[in-house]
Amino acid sequence: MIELTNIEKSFPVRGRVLDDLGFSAAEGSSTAITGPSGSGKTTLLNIIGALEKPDGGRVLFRGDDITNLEPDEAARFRNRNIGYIFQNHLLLPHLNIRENIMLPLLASRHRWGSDREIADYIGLLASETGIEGVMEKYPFHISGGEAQRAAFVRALANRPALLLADEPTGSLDRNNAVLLAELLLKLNSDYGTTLIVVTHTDYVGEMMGRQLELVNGKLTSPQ
Amino acid sequence: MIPSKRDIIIRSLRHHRGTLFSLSLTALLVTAVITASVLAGYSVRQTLYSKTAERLDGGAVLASSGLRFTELQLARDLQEILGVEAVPMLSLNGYAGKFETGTRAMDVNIWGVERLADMPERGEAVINRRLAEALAIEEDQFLILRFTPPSDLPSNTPFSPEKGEEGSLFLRVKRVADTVPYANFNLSVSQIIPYNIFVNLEEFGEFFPDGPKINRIVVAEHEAATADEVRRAVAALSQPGSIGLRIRPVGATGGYEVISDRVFIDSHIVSSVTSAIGTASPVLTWLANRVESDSGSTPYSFIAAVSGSSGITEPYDMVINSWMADDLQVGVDDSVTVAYYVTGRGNELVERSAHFRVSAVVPLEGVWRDSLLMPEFPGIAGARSCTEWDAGVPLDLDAIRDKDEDYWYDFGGTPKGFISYETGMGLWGNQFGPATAIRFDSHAGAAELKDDLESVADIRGYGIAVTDLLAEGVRAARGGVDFSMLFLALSIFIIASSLIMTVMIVQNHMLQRQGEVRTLSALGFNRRTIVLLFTGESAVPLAAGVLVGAAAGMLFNRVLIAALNSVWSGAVQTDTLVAHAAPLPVVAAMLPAAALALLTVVVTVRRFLAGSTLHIRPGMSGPKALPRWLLPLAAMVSVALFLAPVVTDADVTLMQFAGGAVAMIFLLLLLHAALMRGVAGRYWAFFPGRGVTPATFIAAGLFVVIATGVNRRDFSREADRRDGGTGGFTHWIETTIPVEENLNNEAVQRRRGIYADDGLLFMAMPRVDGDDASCLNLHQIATPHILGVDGELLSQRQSFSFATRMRGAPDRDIWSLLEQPAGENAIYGVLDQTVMQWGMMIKAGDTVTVTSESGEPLHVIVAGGLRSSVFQGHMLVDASHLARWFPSVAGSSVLLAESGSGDHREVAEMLSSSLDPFGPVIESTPSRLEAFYSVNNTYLSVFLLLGGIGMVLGVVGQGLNVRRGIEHRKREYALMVAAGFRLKTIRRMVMREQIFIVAAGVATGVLSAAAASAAGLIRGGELPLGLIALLVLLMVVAGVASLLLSLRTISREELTAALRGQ
Repeated sequence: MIELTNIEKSFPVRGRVLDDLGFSAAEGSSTAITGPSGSGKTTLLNIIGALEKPDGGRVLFRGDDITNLEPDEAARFRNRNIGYIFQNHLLLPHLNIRENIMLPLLASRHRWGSDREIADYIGLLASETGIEGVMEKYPFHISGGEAQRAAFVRALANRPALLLADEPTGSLDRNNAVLLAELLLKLNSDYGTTLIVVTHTDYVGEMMGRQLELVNGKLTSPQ
Repeated sequence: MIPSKRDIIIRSLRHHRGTLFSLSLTALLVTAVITASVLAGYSVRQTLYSKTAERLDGGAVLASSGLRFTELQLARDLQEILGVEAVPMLSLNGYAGKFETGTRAMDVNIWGVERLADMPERGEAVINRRLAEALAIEEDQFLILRFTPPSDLPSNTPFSPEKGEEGSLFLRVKRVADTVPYANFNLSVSQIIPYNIFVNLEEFGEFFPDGPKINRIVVAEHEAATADEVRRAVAALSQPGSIGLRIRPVGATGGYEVISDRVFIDSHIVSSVTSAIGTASPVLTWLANRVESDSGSTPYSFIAAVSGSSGITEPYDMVINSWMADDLQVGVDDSVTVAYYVTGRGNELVERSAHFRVSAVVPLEGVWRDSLLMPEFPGIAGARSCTEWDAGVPLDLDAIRDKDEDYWYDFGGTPKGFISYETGMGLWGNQFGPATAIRFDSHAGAAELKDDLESVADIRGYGIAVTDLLAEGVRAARGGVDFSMLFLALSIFIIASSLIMTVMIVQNHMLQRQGEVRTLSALGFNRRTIVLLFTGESAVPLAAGVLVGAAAGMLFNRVLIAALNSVWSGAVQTDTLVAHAAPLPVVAAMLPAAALALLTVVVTVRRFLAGSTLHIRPGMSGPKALPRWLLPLAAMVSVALFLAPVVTDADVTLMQFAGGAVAMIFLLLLLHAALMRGVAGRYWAFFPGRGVTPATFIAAGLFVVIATGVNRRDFSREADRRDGGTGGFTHWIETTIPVEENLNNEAVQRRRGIYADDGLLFMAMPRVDGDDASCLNLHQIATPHILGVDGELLSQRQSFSFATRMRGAPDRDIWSLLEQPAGENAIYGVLDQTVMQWGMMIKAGDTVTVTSESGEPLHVIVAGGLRSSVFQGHMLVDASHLARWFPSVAGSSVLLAESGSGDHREVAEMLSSSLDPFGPVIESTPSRLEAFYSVNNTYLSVFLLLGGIGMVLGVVGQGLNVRRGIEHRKREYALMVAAGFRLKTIRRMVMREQIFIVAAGVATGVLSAAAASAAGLIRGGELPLGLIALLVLLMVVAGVASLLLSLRTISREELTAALRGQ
């Protein structure tokens, strides 16, 4: 589904972080990417999600080259194909949980189903993630775990083909972290959503179908 | 179910209302300032419009004979033909004194009227409140009014009698008119209320042989009486008598002649009549001092220059009568010499002579015995003997013999000699006209001749200029000083500060919501939508701020107008401005204010989004060090600029200003380098703008405010400088009655009691009254006062200097250009540069067209713009040209005097006493310049005040900047707390940093401004130390207050939250 070849990325002070990197993920696969701090994991995720452009190389998504999309094209691409989960939930404080979850549907005119279908789908996800009781509450009224699960549901609202999670459990305790990781995998198996997770947490990484380590700008299998 | 963009905007607005409220405040400020500025200009314009209507008292069209006079009947006929009220008036200028105390008021408008509400009888006067207050006079008290006696014959006409006493009237004040519309009647375009006195027209009957005459007709406003209609009516009604022409039979020839009340007939009339009527021929008769031959001399004889006379075949042939032939013992082919006076430069009499050949000797009979050839010189015609003549020239009475008296008794003014008209024109042609009569050899009768004259189109309405007063007044008010733009410019710092604060608020706000931005981008919102969401939530508070700001602006406008009427009245010379407001100007102000505020928000959001790269952390590209060569380069450039005037011709003021500006840059670079030192310097190394930018704003603001303040000029030191605004003259003298004597003549000085220890030089300047074009008049003036100057004298003295000159003007001496003609109906002139640029909106090389005395247009090409001078408000032309185009201007009502040394005040008192009969107003030239600069200085004061407010606001904004910096460095501080630093220590550290930045900004601004202002200080300007101290104090107070408020956010709770990353 996603294929990266000869990816190069450098920063003025940090220097080269991705060096002739190659990566691919099949449809429906789950991959964990680990590595030391500052190794470029988030950068790699941003390149996959068309949030950043590489200095060199190519990114193919289902055969389409998304390396050099114009900003508006990249936004449309992300909206339709990518779900993003951050370490900090980044819920908008002035919208309730339901509205936060619906936000991706506002970004573009694209609707994958009728309002009814969408509402049922969101309801199902909310139920599965245990946040159906806080849907009308505001982010500052719920716990961090609930907020992160809400962010998870938000990432899935548009039924993306690819889910990118950047340290999704970084701010959660172990129980919530495991719960979230299981949710990710369930989604992966139930809906066939391809999953790429950046994580420092060993048990989360081990739960994924494949683990890769980013070292010296390249992805390798961990020792 | 799915939230709309509007829902998100509304939710966000509710959630962030605290922050967004501060946007309302900045929008309020911007709108209030812009609205107040626009309304100030609107108020001034509306006031001027209403004052135009007030001063015209229902009058709309003016028919004016200018410096001349016309018959009262013309007004009556005009009223009848138009069916609209046409008020006849005699307009004079004089001065009034209260009888009991001698208190005087100069420059009084005298209106001779025959109808007025509460009409004064003879011996009475109605005066306006302003005059009453100046004289401290009440009803039933008495005043003496003095003025130049009106006369058809200008006093400087050749052979007009010696000037008698000025006219005077002893009058009882019947009424002080202060509420009736006519009280402040004024035909001049000005907001300044004149001194007005209304007198019965009959009082002036004695000055005209056939009863009182008038020179103004004011036609009431009516749709049937447009300027064109009045012009047509005047032309239709025009008779020879309207322009002072009379027809009389000539017994000697059996024909007729036309003569003028002014003795000499205008060249335009002569050429029009002789072209239109074939039988017309001009005559010019002159009084010769003597006619001499080898054998004798005949004193005081009239010589007539005529056309087509038999016996004259050559230009210098003369036909003499038998009486003269006997007296001189000459015959045909003998030579005679004619000696005669002409008027030279400065109205000085010059005796010249011309030689003739006697071509014929004719008997004293028939056409050669024609006493009507002598013009009706008032001092000569009607005299019983030659010794009674008052010819206005020195007469040697001892030279008059009995036989000369006998000739006068028997033959009157019959000319003793005749020459060709062309030769006479060459010898005696003058600015009053080329003929003393126009003769018609044959005509059916006087009535037919009158009809023929009336049919000469070119002289119909001659000398009567028709003006649309209302249109002129409205145009002048509309084009006058634009107080809207003025206050906008003066308030630029407030507007800039408000917008900068808007930027800071938005940046702060965006910084706090970086995560939201990142989320929206990740979710697929494009940049345009993100900008829309963030600016959309700002729109409501901005709109609220604009609405409230407009209301505040209307209040602020009242404050501005009240200030203009009081403490800032130096700028407007009146205290009667009225604050006006109307929907259109308010909306016109709100729209750009709203657009400006919204644009600022949009641009700030867009720039933030572009800089933040949306998706990851804010771009950090490493410490920003300055190139090493920049600091020494700035230092060298600054020094070079300061030294430039020493080694080149570069302007001192400009170079020092530039040097000061570069010095400011140097000091700011020094600050930049200083900030980057030490541990704290690591932060500034990455974000130098956050330290240097506020210091730059403070420094730049102080620099401009101080450098501007120094330009408040003190002119007390300029008195001696010839190239300065005083021209080296010490006193400016204006007289209500023009001075016709040469005050540089020792005999005149002795007679007048004029003395000064080291001599006194006068430059007399005749003036043609127009409208005051100085900066004291708020209107845009098209026809300024005209002064006739002695260009040669000014050139020799190298007095004054020019700021601009027209292309092709001589490099060094424009004064010498004034004497030269500039084409048909064109001459050169000079104006004050300030007046040209801001008052009349013209430049060097442009043409100002005025109406000459005869009614013809006179084009004055502006050869140059004078640097600020005492002449402000006047257009200068050469005195010879002024005499030619305005011959009726007799004497000089403006003089410049230079006293060599001594107490100038004593000299002023002496001159005031010596020139007392002329109604003088004497001021020192520096005082006069000071008065003009009161306008400029007032504007500068306003700028300093408003600029100061802007600076203080900027410092308050600096507090926001600090807040932003604190937000940015919260984790840094949090780590420091975690590592053991006390909160107090961190706050102190931040405080020290910020105080250093503000102090550095203040020091940079003050030092560089002082350096930039050195030239101004030397020239007499003063550093406004008090204001600087006040500004700095206010900035420090505001800065510390906003800083302390911002420091409150460095609390344990906030820092801990920052560590947690929430």
